[in-house]
Amino acid sequence: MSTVRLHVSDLAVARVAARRARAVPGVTTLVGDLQQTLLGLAAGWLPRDPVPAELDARGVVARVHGGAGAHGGAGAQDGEVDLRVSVGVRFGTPCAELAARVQQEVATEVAAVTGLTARVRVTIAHIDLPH
Amino acid sequence: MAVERVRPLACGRDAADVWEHAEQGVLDEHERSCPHCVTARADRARLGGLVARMAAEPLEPPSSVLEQVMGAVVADLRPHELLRIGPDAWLGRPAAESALRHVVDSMGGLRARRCRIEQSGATPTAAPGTAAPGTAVPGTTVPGTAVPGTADRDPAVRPVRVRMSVAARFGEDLTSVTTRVRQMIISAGERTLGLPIEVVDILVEDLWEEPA
Repeated sequence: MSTVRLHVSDLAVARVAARRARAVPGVTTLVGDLQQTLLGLAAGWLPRDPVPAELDARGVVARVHGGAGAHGGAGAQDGEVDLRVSVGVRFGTPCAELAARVQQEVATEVAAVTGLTARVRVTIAHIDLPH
Repeated sequence: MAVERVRPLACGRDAADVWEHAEQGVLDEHERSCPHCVTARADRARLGGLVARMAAEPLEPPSSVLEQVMGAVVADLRPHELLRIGPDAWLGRPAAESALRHVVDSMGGLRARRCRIEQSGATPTAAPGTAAPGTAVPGTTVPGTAVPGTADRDPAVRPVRVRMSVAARFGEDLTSVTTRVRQMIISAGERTLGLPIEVVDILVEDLWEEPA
């Protein structure tokens, strides 16, 4: 009997999470940090397969524990993923409820697609004010 | 025709005249059949099509590299700039502050100036009534008052102190203004930001007069 091991990369998990987070009502955008923006600018000049906008992972950082990468974070076990999601929201959206909803929806989606247990940290980095 | 004569087409006609005649629909026999004139008319049609197509394109301001990088720098939050709003959930302090400023700006007779939100790190949830009064800032400072009903929150979410400085319209009753500001900030903070507000300090920094 052969063994099949599945490892899902950080980037793949980040893409799944970003796509779900963007779909949460009240979320207007995902906010990438400086590093991601610079890398994104650099990637724009490099010849690479174009990524559809809905799979853009900017604003999400994922780290899958265990498997090929073997990062070995403190106390983390195989089959777990740490996710950080930075979102921008529309003014008037209750931020605490929205953050809880993003956590719940992203964790559910990541579990459904990859089978990993996700711990989702949400940061609301921007509030869109009406003019 | 006011256009200065330039080198004519090979057939001796002026391209500007051909364009003009084509526009007015008064082409003569030569202009309709001469290959040079036909080419000149085709140029005009091509240019017209190009301009129409570009005019129809939706305007999209190009986001320069500088803009993108500056946006990321501004949005880059350091740990001390985060306010905790729930388990594993944070809110950027600059975003929360500009939201509160916006709320105050939208009130009549007031302009928000500076806003500072501080989340207490040490005391989990101070009992209502025991909250420390606002720091004694000289000027028309109204000492903050404790907000009841914040004790039943998630203990990880610490209550915050909001310091807001405003400019008021001349003639506003400052006591009622501060009461309104306090109410607006508490309501906005608790409902939309998810931050239990413990103390609101309001400093009326300046007065302004409506231009006649």
